[in-house]
Amino acid sequence: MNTVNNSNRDWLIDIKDLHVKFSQDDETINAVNGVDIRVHKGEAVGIVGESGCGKTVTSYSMLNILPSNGEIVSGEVRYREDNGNVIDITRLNPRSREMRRLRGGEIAMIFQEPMASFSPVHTIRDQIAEGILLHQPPKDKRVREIIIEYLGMVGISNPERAIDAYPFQLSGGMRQRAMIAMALACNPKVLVADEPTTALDVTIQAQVLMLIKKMQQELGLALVLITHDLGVIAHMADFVYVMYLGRVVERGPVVKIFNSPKHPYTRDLIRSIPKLNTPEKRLATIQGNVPDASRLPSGCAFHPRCREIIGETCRRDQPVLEEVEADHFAGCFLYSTHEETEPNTGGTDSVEYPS
Amino acid sequence: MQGYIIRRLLYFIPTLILISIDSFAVIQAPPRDFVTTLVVQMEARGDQVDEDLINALRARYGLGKPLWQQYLIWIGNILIGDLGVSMAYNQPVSRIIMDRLPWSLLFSFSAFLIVYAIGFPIGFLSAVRQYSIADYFLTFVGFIGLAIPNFMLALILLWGHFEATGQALVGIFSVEYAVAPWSFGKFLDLLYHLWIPALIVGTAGTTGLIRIVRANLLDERKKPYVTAARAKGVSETRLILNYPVRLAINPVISNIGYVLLALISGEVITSIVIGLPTIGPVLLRALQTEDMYLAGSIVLILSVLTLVGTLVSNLLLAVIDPRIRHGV
Repeated sequence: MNTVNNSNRDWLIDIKDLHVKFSQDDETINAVNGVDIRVHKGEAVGIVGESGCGKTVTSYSMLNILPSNGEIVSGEVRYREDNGNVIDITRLNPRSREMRRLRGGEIAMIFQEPMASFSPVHTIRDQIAEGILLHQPPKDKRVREIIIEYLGMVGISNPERAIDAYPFQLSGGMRQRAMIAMALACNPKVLVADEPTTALDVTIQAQVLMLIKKMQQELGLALVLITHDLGVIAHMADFVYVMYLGRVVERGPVVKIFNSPKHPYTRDLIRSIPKLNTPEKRLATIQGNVPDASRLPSGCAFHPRCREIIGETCRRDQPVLEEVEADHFAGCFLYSTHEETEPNTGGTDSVEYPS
Repeated sequence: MQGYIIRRLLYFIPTLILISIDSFAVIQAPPRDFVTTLVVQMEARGDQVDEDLINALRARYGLGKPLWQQYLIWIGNILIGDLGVSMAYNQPVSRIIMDRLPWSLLFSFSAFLIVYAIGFPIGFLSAVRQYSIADYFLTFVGFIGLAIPNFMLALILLWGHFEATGQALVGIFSVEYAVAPWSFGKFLDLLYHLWIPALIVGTAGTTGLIRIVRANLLDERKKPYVTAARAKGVSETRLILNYPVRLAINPVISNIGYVLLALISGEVITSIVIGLPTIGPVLLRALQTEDMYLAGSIVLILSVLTLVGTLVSNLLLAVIDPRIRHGV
């Protein structure tokens, strides 16, 4: 299943050196600071990190739906259509017809809270039909049948009844299934799922994840899965990006990330997954908290919490992603091939995709 | 839905009873009952006090009996249309109210229409163009409207109108129509006299509504379901009309009951300044002269009307919001 090594395969989304900032009460928050992510056709990409690491902002940038106080400062989010046409989403007006055509129609999104993400005063049918009518209005009047078909496909029992329900009449799991049906109903090429199971009961989480995986494989979708849960990543993703404070600190195929994590942050994340068969009473944690994104630490942003800190370099210089093994990159001076880096370059010039 | 309506109607009944007790308390508030007051007044004027009439009145309103019996007699009389007697006007209370109440209702309803016709679009505009020059300007004007007392505004507008046209815009009809039979011209004259007081009485309500609509829309626009709909590719215009406006309308409708109440209690001073034959000034005078049957009856009727307004707004809410309809 894991065939990610071949990056000559068709990519669908290519994010290059993305910078996003938020303004809040005269304060600037640098939420995303030079992120490179590439999503290939049919691939499941996982983006993992603690809250505030910029993973949701990155996903919102893919659809150009940042809140009004957010702004893409620089970088590219390129989308490649079926006909080979490449569009830089950051250059599109968020309100433009072109941007709206891509939203839902090419790149669809599943949100974190299925209750809050459905309008409480519209039926499931109205909310799913809205997207269908926008992107693929059927020639004959079969919208209702299409919706029932999708509701059945995502495992909603009795879809003929559920279609006329209001969101609050469905259980949390059923609502998230309906949300998935809503995303799939417009035949997108990319499915972006932002913490799709965080708000659900543990027993329902696995079912919904399995459903997303199944739909992704059956429909040949590219999946961008955003989560803080490494367990979810392990089950779902082919390729993993680990983010910390608006940067990708490590990326690689899922097996390599879990078998030989390179960045101290990734190691800490994996170490803090609770294990049942160890005698230790205390859960492992990462020391300290995520710093305030409006006051980023100098040098490597992780250095105040790092257990493997080398020295002055970590406090002064910004590490760049370097290939530590085939297709596996980490941004840490532990693997720096340069003896001396220019102080505060902060650039990501040396980031290249493996060829 | 039926369950909801039945529940609302059931809540309506105990509230109604409480309001009637309240109004009865208003009538009972002065230290002397009204017949004693009447006797004192007649003696003060040097009139012959007719003992038979006094006793008849006492019997009719159950004076001297325990309070709860008086209350029941009072309620019983109301149900057959007898609201008691006004001493100041020396007329049945029901006749005074029937003369005045229609004007009050017409007047309040016009003010109500103005509140919603002006308040909703401005609130919408302020929210959609938040922090724009238009938003700041409208907010500024709104607060001025809220801050200026109604009588002041009435005087300013009357003066302005007089300066502009040379006519005093007092009363509800112009001189030539005052005693004329109903005609289209008279109707237009009525509208012409109505809009200024309606606007005056509506200013506070309008400003309040602008703030409510603006705050709710801004609130709803940030909700995740709006982002989710945007991610489907919905245009911004359709987005705001289909989602935030639809949800922000709830508080606007539940506001109806309060707006009605504010309009009715707000009209008194304006009506006195402009000389409108509405019920507000009568209530004020009745309270000053301890004309308690009149005062109590007006309090009762206005309260019931407010209650009906609230009931209507509750039922409207159920129609537009499925969560209320389904009792979530």
